[in-house]
Amino acid sequence: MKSETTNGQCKELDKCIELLNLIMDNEALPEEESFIDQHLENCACCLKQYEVEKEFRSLIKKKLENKDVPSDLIASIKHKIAAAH
Amino acid sequence: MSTLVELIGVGDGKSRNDKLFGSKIVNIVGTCKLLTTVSQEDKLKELKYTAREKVEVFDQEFMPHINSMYNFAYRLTFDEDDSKDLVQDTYLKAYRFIHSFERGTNAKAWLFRILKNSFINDFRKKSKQPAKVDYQEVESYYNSDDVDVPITTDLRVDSLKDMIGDEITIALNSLAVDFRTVIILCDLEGFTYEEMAKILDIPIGTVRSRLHRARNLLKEKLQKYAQSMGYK
Repeated sequence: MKSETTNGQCKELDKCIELLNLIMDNEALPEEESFIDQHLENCACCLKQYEVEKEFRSLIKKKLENKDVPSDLIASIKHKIAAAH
Repeated sequence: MSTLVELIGVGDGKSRNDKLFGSKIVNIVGTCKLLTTVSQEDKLKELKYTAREKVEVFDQEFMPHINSMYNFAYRLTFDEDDSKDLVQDTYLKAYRFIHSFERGTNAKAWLFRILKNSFINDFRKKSKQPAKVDYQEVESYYNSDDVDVPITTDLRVDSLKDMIGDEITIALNSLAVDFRTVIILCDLEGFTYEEMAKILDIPIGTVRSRLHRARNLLKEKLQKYAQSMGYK
């Protein structure tokens, strides 16, 4: 499959980004996956974008700060449930 | 019963989503009617869980998710006290409607759904502050599935690698709540599209398109941030 690009940018970039993410979400259909696999063989733009998408996801997963659960919250829930009996 | 229906969102039993949590509204309604006439012993047979089992389900299946629940609440409200209220409210509702939970099914998705509904139905109404939604953003991207989404092609792997937690947190928090939510559910909590559809009461196709738009918006914000910081 020949890749259609304008100034080095894939003409179907938005569609390809969506499909790349579907694959990474394990939600792509087999035909969507094989389309992208073939496409990436010829499209340097989308292959580069794939790296960006991967890094973007890893950033969200690893660097978003998590708050600790306030120490009194669990006790308070348990107390209210015991009182409900 | 309206509260229960609203809480667990039972449909006609035919869709895939209805089977996800194994909720059986008919049985629950039947049980409620019977309770007025049957003996104590029969009551126990009719209800799914004994008092002891309720404690077990609550401790073993619900409580392990409190960390995710609290952080989800915090990312919706941006306030510690509000998050505590929202999580507590969610757990009390979960306990109250524990008989509509099928043991061994997806407790985390069930709890997230209750929390999301509590946030929309109770919390937003009660909250003194208006919901922190960027309406312009919602208007631009929310109403049409065909709208062109800006694609950030200048965002580089290296500038992403240089970013710290604060930057990604600020960028995520600046997204409208509906976009923020799908990123949290998918990228952070790892829910499937089907689970997200159930949690959010939207079709799977909408999950897919909203997620795509949310990610593009977030990348755009990160790109602007990288530019302003002079990352190359």
